[in-house]
Amino acid sequence: MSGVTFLETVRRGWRTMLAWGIGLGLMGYFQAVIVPDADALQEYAELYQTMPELMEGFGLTDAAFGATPEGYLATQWFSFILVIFAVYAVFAGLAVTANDEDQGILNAALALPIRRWRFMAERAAAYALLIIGAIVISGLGVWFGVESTPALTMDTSILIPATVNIIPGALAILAATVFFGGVIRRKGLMTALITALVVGSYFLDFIGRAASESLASDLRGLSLFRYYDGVEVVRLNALQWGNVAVLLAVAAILLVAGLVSFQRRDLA
Amino acid sequence: MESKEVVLQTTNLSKRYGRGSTSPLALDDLSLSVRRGEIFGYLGPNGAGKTTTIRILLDLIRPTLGSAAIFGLDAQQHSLEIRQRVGFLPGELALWSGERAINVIRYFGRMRGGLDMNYVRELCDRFQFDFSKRVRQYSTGNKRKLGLILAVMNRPELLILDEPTSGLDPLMQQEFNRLMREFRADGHTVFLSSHLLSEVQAICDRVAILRAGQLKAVEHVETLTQADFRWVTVKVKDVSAVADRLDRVPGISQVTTRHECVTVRLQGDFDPLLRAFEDQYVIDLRVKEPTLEEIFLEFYDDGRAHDPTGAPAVPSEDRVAVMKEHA
Repeated sequence: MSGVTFLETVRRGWRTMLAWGIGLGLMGYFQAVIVPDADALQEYAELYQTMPELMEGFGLTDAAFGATPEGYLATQWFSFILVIFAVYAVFAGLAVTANDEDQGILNAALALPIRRWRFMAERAAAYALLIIGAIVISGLGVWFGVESTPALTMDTSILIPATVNIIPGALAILAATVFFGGVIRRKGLMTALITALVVGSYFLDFIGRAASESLASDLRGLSLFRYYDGVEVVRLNALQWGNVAVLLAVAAILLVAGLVSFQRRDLA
Repeated sequence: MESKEVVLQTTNLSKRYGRGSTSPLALDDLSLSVRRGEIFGYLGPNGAGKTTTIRILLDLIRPTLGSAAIFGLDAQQHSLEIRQRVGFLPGELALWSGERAINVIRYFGRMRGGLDMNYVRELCDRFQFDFSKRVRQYSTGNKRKLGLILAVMNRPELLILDEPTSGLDPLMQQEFNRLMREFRADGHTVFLSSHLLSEVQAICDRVAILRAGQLKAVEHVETLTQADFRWVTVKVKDVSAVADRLDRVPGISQVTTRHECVTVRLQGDFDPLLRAFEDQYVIDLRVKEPTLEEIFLEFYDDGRAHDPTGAPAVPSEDRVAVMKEHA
C-alpha cells in the first residue's frame, strides 16, 4: 500500500529525530550563550589569526568577519555541524535496510506486498524527512541562543539559509549509506565503507582547505564536504546553489543506484 | 478439498550461493507442484534446501537456474501480485524488537490492504497470545505465535510456513494443526517445511522429501508412514544365546550384535521380539525412530535400508529410552 512504509518509518523514528534535534539544538544554544561580550568575539578572531591554516581549514578566510557575531557562529557552529549530522545520517541510512537485513527482519518485511525498491525508497524518504526535522530543530536551538545573548546582536534571518544549507550534505550522506546498504549484504563491511567515506571526505576537505598547495587541495573536489561551506553561506546570507545542486545530484544518483542494486540482488 | 489446480510449481529449480561453479548447489534441479486445497509438507534435514526453496518462491533470493510459479505467475516477474495472496512465516522470525506486537500486526495488516481486528483477536485467543507487549519481551514460543498470526491474519490463499511449530508447546501445536485443517477445509493451500516427520504426519496430505538440495520423493503421507519401523537395541547378559534365534522372529531383520547389545530392525508389533528374550536377563532396552533418510530408503530401496558396511544404521537420536531392569 502506498505510503504505509513511509508513515510507519516516520512513526518509529520521530522520537530519535526529536532527541537528535533537541540535543544538537541545545548544543547550538549553548554555543551562542557562552559568548559573554563582543570582546570575546574579537579574541576568537585574533586566536584564529595566529593559526591561519586552522582558520582556513574551517573555511574562514577573512579574520575581520571572524570577529563578528555572524563569523563567530559560522566558525563555531555552521562550519562543522554537518559532521555531526553526518553521524545521524549514517545511522538513519543504516536503518533504511541494512539493520533489518542484518537481523533477518527483511525476510518477513519483504514478503509483504511491496516492491523492494519501493520499500527502500519509502524508508529513505522517511529518514530524509526526519533528518530535515532534526536540522530544523537544531536551527531553532541556535536561534534561541542568539536571541538570548546580547553579545550576538545580528540579523537572525541568516540562520535560515545557514541551517537549510546543512540539509543537502546530510541527504547526500544518507543516500551514500543507503547506496552501500543496497549494494552490499554484509552490514559490517558497508558500515566500514560509509564511515571511511565520511571521515575520509571530511579530512580531505579540511586538509585541502588548510594546505592550498597540497595534493589534498587538488583532490578536494572528490569530498562531499567540499560542497558544504557553512561559513560562506553565513557571510553571503545566501545558499550557494551550485553546491546545493551538486550535493542533491550526488544524493539522487546514489539513491537510484542503491534502489536498483537492492531490487536485483539476493537478500542476505 | 484437494483439487487438480496447481497453486505452486517449481521447474528445474537450482540455487548456488556464491560465485563460480565450484560452490555447492543449495538446491539442485527441483521440480514439484502443490495443488490447491492441500497441506503440503516439505520435509528434510537441516541444510537440505527447504528455506532456500521458500526464499526463491517469495523472490527474496533468485534462482541460479529454473523457475518457480505461484498461482500460475512467475515468482520473479510477478512477485508483488503473488505476495498479495501469500502469507509467510520465516523459519527464524525476526521483528523490530522495540515495537509492540499490536503495532507490527497493524503495519502488516495495512501493507496487505486492511486488517480484520476481530479475526486477529480470535487468533490471539486461540494461541493465548497477548499482543500488547514489545517484541523483545516475548519468549521464543510467543514470537512464533506472533509470526503465525501475522502469516494467517489476512486469510491468504496460500500459506508458506517454514518450520512453523518449532518452539510451540504441544497444546499450541495442536491448535496450529486445527487451524491448518480449517484453512484446508476453506480451500486454502498450505506449504509447510519441517524436519520433523511427526509434524507433517499430523496434518499433511502429501510430503516431499528433500536431501542435500535434491528432491528424493513426493508421496502421500499414508504411503510414507507404511514404511514405519524402529531400531531396537537390547542389552542382555548373554547375547550369543539370543542372536541366532532373532533371525526367525517375525518383523525382525538386520540383527547385529556388539558386546552385550543386540540391535534389530523391527517392523510391526513388539510382542514377538519381547518373547524372544523371555529367558534372558534384560539390562536395557532402547527404541529409536528411523531417520527421514532411512524411511526414504526403506520406501524406495525395496526395504534394504542399511549401511553399506552391513552394520545397522545407527539412529542419530534417542527418542525413547524405554525401560531399564534393575538388578
